[in-house]
Amino acid sequence: MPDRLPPAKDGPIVSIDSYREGPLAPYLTAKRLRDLSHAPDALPAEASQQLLFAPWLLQDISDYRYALQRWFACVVPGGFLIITVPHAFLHDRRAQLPSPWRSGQRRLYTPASLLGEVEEALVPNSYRIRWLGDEDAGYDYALGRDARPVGRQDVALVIERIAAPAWTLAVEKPAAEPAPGPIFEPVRTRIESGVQAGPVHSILLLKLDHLGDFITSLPAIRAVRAHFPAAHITLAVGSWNEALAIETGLADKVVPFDAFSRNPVEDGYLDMAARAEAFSALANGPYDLAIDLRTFPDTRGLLARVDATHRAGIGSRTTFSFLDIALPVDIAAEWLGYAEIANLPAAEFKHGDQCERADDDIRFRSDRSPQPQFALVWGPYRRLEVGNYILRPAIHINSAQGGLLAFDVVVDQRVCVSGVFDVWVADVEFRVEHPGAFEFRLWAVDGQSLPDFDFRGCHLFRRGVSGDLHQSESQRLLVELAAMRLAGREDQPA
Amino acid sequence: MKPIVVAPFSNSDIRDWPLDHFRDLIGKLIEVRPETVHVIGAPGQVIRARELVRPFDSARVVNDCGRLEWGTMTGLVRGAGCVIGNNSGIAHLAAFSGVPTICIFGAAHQRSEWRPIGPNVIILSRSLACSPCGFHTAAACPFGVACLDQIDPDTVFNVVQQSLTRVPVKAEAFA
Repeated sequence: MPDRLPPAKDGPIVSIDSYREGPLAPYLTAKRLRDLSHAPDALPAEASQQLLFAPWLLQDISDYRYALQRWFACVVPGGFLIITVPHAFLHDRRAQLPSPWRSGQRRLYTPASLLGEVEEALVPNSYRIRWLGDEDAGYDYALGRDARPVGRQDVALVIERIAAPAWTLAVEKPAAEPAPGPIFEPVRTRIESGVQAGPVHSILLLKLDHLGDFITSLPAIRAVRAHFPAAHITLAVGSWNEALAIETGLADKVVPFDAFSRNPVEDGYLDMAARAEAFSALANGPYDLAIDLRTFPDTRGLLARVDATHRAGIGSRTTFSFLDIALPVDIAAEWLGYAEIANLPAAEFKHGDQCERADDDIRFRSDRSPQPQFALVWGPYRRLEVGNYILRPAIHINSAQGGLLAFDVVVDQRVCVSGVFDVWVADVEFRVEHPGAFEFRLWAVDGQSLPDFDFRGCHLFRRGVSGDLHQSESQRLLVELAAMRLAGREDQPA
Repeated sequence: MKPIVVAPFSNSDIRDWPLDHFRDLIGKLIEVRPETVHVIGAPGQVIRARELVRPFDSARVVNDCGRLEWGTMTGLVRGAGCVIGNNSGIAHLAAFSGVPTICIFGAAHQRSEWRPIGPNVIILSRSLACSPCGFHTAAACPFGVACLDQIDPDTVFNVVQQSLTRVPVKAEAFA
C-alpha cells in the first residue's frame, strides 16, 4: 500500500506533555508510545505501539480515511490511538472553512464529525471509543470571536484497538438455489436505453367503425394532430365517414376503407379476414406510427398488417404481441361488463378423503367410492359483496368415462345456485344478495357414476363493472400514451 | 468537472445491487476517471455507506450519505455528469431531470412498468425466468437476488464510461 499521508501543513507543534493533565492523562502512560507531533510522516511498524498520539494532524490531511487506517494499524490490540483536532467552535469559531488561523486546514471538526470520520475509516468492532470530548481547559470565553483563542481548544478522541470478533455485521446469506433458466429469452444482462428509436414524420390512424364511433374519436384525432403537428397524418375511415373526416381538416389524407358494412344488421357482416388482403394496399407505408382507434379488438388484425415502426392499440401485448404501444384496457370489463376479481387456485380449497392433492390440483379417481352426502371439494370462503358474479371453474373431466359432477355455490350457508357438469364445465352465474363468505362445492350425484376429474381452481368475475371508461377516453388515453413515448421527436432529423 | 453520483440504496434491499459490486465499480471508476464520486443516501443508510466508501481515498470518493439537505442533494443530482442507482427514487429524479442515469434494475418489479424515464437513461437488468417476483425483501428470494448479483461491475463500468462520453439529449420534454 503506498504511503499517501502528506505532511501536515503549518500545523502547530502540540506537545504530548500538554495533555498529561486532564481526561487523556490515564492513556498517556504507555511505554511503547509514538508521538507524531514532531514527525507525522515517520510511522512505526504495524501493530508495534501501545499508544499512537496524533495531535492536530488530521484536519490537514486530504485522505482522512487512509490516515486513520494507517495510524490505527500501528497500534497493538489493547493499545490506543489518540487523535486531537482543532475544535470548530473553540479554535476556528466558524461554521465553514477557511479557518482564520490555519490556511492549510481542510476540514472543521466537532466531536460528531470526528467520530463520523473514524466510523467511516475503521472496520466496525475492530475498535472501541474510550473517550470523546471537548477539551477547553483554561479556555478564555471572554475573548472576542476575532481574537486568537487562549486555552485548550480541541476535540480529543481515544480509540482502543480490540481483537475483532469472528463475526461481522454482514447478514449471512443462506445458500442460494441456482437462478431459474430462460423462458422468453436467453439469460443475459439487458442494456436498454429509455429513448425509443426514431422521429415521427408519418402517422396512419385507423378509425374504421361507424358514425357515432367516429364522432367519439374526434378528441383523440385532434390530440394526435396537437402532439405531432409536423407529421403527415393519413386517416382511414369507413366510406360513410369519409366526407366528415375530410371536413374536420384534421388529417392530411383521408382514405376510405370498409372493414365493416355500413349497417351490419341490414347489410350483413363482412368477412374481416377476407377484407385484410384489400387492406394491405393501404397498409403499405411505411409509417412511423400507426394507431388503431377502435376499442373493440376486431380490427387489431388489420393493424398488424400495417408497415409501421410503432403500432399502437387498445389491448394487452399478451393478446396482441405486435403492439409496440399497448393500452391494456380490460376489454371484457368495458365491452361485456365484467372483470376478473380473483384467481382462486386449488390450494385455497379443501377436499374430502375421496380426493387427493397432486401437484397443484385436487384429483378424484373413480376407483374410490364417493359418498354423495359429503362434499368432495369445498372452499375458499372469500367474502363477497352484493352483486352478480360469474365463476369459471378450471376442472378437467375424463370425458371417456361418462357420469356427472354436481356443484353448488353457497354464501353464508345459503345456496345461490346449483347444477351438474358432465363433460362440459360451463361458467356458473350467481347473485349475492347479502355480503358473506362464498363457497364453491363439488359433489357426487346420488345414483350416478362420478368421472375422474382434476380440479385446478376457479376464476371469479364480477358483473356490472363496465362504464369506467368512455370510448372517447380510451382512445384519447391511447393517443396520450403514444405521445408520451414518441412526441417531440418529429422535429429531429430522420 | 461534474461529479459522478452513486445512490446505492433503495427502500427495499431486494432492489439494491450488492454493495460489493458498487465497491468494485467505484474502484474501477476512480482508477480511470478524473471525476469525484459522491455517495448519497438517507440518514438511515449511513452505516452501509461507510462500509462502501471505506477503502477509497476520501478526496475522490465523498460520503454524502445522510449529510445533505434535500435541496443540496437534488442540486448535486441535477448537476451530476452521471448518476448510478438502483430502482429507487434518486434514479427516477435523475432520469426525470435529464441527467445521464444508469439504473441497475432488479427483477422484483416489472421494468417496463417501473423503470426510470427520461431522455438519458440506461437500464441494466437480468433476464431471469423468475422475474418479476414481487418480493419485498432479499431474504424472500431463494436465488440470492441473482437478478442483481449476476449483473457484473465490468458491464456497468463500460456503460458508465459510454454514458460519460456521450452528449446528453436535452430534457425539455421531460421537465
